Amino acid sequence: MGSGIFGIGVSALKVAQAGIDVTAHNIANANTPGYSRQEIVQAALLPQNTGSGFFGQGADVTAVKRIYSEFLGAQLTEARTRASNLSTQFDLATQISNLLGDSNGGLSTSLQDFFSAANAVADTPESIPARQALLGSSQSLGNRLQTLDGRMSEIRDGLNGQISNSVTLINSYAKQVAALNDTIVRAQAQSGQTQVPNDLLDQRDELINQLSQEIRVTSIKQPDGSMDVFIGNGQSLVIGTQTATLQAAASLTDQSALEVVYVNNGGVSRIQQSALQGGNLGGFLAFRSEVLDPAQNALGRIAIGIADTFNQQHQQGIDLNGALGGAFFNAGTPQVAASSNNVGNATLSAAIGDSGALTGADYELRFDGASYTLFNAATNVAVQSFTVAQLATPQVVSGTGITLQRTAGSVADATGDAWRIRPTATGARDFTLAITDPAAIAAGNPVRANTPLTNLGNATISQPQVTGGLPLDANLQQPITLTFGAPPNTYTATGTGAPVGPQPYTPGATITINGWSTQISGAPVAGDTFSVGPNSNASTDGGNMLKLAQLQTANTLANGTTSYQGAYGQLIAQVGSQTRELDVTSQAQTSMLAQITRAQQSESGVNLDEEAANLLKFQQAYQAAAKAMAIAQTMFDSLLQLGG
Amino acid sequence: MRISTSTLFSEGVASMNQLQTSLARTQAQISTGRRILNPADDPAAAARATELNQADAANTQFAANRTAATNTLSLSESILGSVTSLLQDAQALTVQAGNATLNASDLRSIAGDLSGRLQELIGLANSTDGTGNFLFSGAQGRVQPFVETAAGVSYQGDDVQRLIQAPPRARSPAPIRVRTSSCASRTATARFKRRRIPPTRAAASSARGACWMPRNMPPTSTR
Repeated sequence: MGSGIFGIGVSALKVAQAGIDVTAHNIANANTPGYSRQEIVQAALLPQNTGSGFFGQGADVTAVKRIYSEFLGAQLTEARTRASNLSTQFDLATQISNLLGDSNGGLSTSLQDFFSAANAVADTPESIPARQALLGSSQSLGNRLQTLDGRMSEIRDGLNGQISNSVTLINSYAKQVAALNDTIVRAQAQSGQTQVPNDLLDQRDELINQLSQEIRVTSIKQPDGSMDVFIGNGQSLVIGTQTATLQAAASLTDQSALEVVYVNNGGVSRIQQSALQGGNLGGFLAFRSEVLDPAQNALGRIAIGIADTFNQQHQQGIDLNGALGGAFFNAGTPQVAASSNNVGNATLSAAIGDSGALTGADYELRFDGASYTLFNAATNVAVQSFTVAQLATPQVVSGTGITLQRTAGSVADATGDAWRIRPTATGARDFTLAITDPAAIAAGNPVRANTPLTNLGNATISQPQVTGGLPLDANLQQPITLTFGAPPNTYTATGTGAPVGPQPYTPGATITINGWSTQISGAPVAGDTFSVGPNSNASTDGGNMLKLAQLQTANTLANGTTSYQGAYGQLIAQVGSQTRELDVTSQAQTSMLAQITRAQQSESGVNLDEEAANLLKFQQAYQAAAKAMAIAQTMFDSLLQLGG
Repeated sequence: MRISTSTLFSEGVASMNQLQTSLARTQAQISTGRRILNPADDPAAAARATELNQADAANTQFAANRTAATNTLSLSESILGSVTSLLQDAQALTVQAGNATLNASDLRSIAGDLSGRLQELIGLANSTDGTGNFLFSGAQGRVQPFVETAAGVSYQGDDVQRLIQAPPRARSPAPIRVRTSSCASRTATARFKRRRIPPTRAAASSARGACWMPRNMPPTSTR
């Protein structure tokens, strides 16, 4: 019996000491990220059968287990990947939103200044200072557009760096997970698959949590203790101790944008970028394709719209020297990039056909072996198909505002060849002022009508307006004389480009000759004449500048549904609502993450008060065990004294 | 429910962060005086605000346009006022010349007065707006509109009206054009010119331009 007491006492001491060890370990790791509290699993030893019953043999520690819920762990991983994804997107979108909505830095102020200056020229067309001020404010409008675009390009460049960093982190985490897999499998094997290395499992779970902050991963636990990790559409990142890597590489059709490619066993494969979701990396990619690209395109569309419509009207006027107006702004042109995987070397060119019909979307033209189909790059919806013969001449693509033309190269196109077309991507970047001479601003109307004093009737002629559009009629400024016949119900026009023979006269009807239109009303007398000719010396005529100034509120963009400012307001509202949505969902996700973290921590986290109580508990157990041994000692001594 | 010690701290810190963010936002609102600091705060209102800003700027511009027109019109009006008193003077002289008791020397003196008035009138009709542009010459601000010829006075300007962009009517969304300045005044000047110095048909038709005149008043003076 005596040895039994000692044995039991020793086992109790060992259990209490193990308990104190584990408690101290918990206390030490109370603030270690990813640490799950541990406890000893204590069990009674096999009892000894005697004639008078089974006697217990003491206690033993069968395992040290970590308090960890797989379910909560998986929820936490998912919540983290979502939260980091949304907050990354929100932070980036806020930059764009601030950029566009800034009341001092946005486009609005520049647009207003520009049109104020245009109005000032319309008020005093002969004033060189007013014209110089218009050039100045046009210049600052261009600068503002370029600055906004430049800031977006900076953000795009910054994204490339962040994508690279994120890819590096992912690769590093994948390697660490693989290394831990190795260690864990060995450790488990050493214990004969009976015990698990709790701290290593915690470390690996924490690594996967950190990995999921970069990108959404799916992890599957294997029986040998290793963990396999998959990304995207099931591409394996870690299998046992093997890892694949991700790489940041230039996009096939856009050298300036980095994409994520997948490298496994030395083979490089492109993966669909939209499949890489969640985490920071998913956030970067989603922000670029859903916020940044559309915003930059929309800004480009406004720039191209301003340049195109302003130029068109400007070319219908005459400048201070009496010459017809030229281009006022230089506008950006569509960007076309052939995929670097193309077999053929045909060149595709795109041009703006109708600036009002531009959409702000990017497109991709793909060859399927027989014909070419244009797809919307974002939605992957087919827009229009063309045959080879059709594309040999410029083709208007309905609903896009662009025209496409393909020039065959020396190598024929192969199935799968593709070209990316970004109609408005550089619109804002390339928006510049085309004229520098204030006298070259075409403020005046190119033609004017005069009524001789000798007319006897009371018919009046309105000032002719250019209605033929561009290109201007070659005879626009040719002198034309309208002479009323007898009886004065007809008139005859003489001059280059005039209609032959007497024309019927209807008071108030529009008369169109040589690209200009006018109305004569009232009752003419036979022999009355009206003359229309070049508006020479017209220094104080601001007729064309009035029309230019009225473009401020004219609905010229988006198929004639909105003005410049309206389109910019739409852009602000679009980016603003995207940011707002990200803000709300990001906040919701953050609070959800907090809840799940709390739940997970309430299960696995270390409570120091609890550990203090445990310390006391094990200390008392230790003391009691020691007392049991002391009693055994006393009993033994008493026995010895009996013999003496 | 168990609470882990680190949760106690991290939740406390998170709450403080949240409150500080709200505080910073409110302070930014106070210092800028704006409810919407970022379009994301209220996207629809932010877009509306930019439209209102534009409308505000356009109205300011229209006011400036109107001021410019008002200035030109008051200048024209004061010139027309001078023309009126000049006409009254001329009329008085003409009445005086009808007095049968006047001798040749008196009449010569009156003729001298009248031709002085004519010069004065031509001077007024060729008034400039202070920057060297003729008020009554239509589109050709640098061309002197009234030139004395052997046959009288010929008009070198044209029919073009100078227009400005003015605000839309209260309920009309689009800006409308208004006629300003020189049209009405030029009309009056022309009428006067035609009454006092009746050009012959040939002289009138040889004039390069003709002043716009109201068609409801037949040019009887040329007959």
